Amino acid sequence: MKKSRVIYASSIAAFINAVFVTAITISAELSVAFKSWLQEISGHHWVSKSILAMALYTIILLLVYTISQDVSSKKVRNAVYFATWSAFAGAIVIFAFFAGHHLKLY
Amino acid sequence: MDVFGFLLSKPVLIGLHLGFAIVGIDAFLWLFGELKNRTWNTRHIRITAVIGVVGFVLSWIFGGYYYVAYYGSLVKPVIKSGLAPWAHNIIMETKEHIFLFIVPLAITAITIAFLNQDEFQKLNIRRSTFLLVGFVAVLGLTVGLMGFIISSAARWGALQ
Repeated sequence: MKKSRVIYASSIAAFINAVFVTAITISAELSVAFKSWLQEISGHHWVSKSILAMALYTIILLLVYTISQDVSSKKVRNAVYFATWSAFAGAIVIFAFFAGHHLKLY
Repeated sequence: MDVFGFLLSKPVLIGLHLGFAIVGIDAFLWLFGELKNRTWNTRHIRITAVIGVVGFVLSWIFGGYYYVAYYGSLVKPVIKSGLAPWAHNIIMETKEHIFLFIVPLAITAITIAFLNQDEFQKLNIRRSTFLLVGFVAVLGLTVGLMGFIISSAARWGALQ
């Protein structure tokens, strides 16, 4: 079923988006050079992160949709769970990172 | 002032950012209720999911413009020198990044909303869909609460 492939692909892309946004956010805070590079792309590091995140989401969605010809209901269900829980975990990690940074724990 | 200038003025941008976020959150809370309802109303489910995504995208655009054009130069220094610098260092930094999770998750919810009842039941994704749709609404509410904290910190910073 084409629709289940779209749900599966979008879930995987949302999962990768959550991992990517979390990683790029922390990396940019830890590396001045990387943050400057992000700033150079669009003029603002957050705009660059937004553009890269949406571009990655779109590419992964199309890629996964193309390569996954047959997806079971279990795969779709797990992918939807992964997408949600990865965003939850990403939110906790980002909050903890900035809290630790503010409290000068590292 | 022309229409474009009016839309891009600071209070209007904040209003549009918040207003469209509320539309997105409310639509996803409604979508949650629609999915909970055993009688599958395809039209309601699809319309609420689409309204929700459009709301979040517009909130992202208007809030993003305000953040890039005004927040860094006007609001951030007031908060950082005020009573609660943590409101920027922790809350704003978290808010601006976790917002980036919302739209891909909301689009995933749309892909589910375009199933018909038989397809939804066959896929057996009822629980995972509840979790997804509920999480989008809760994440939206959390971001809204963070916005309230940031606005309060700026107000008290300015009054100091």
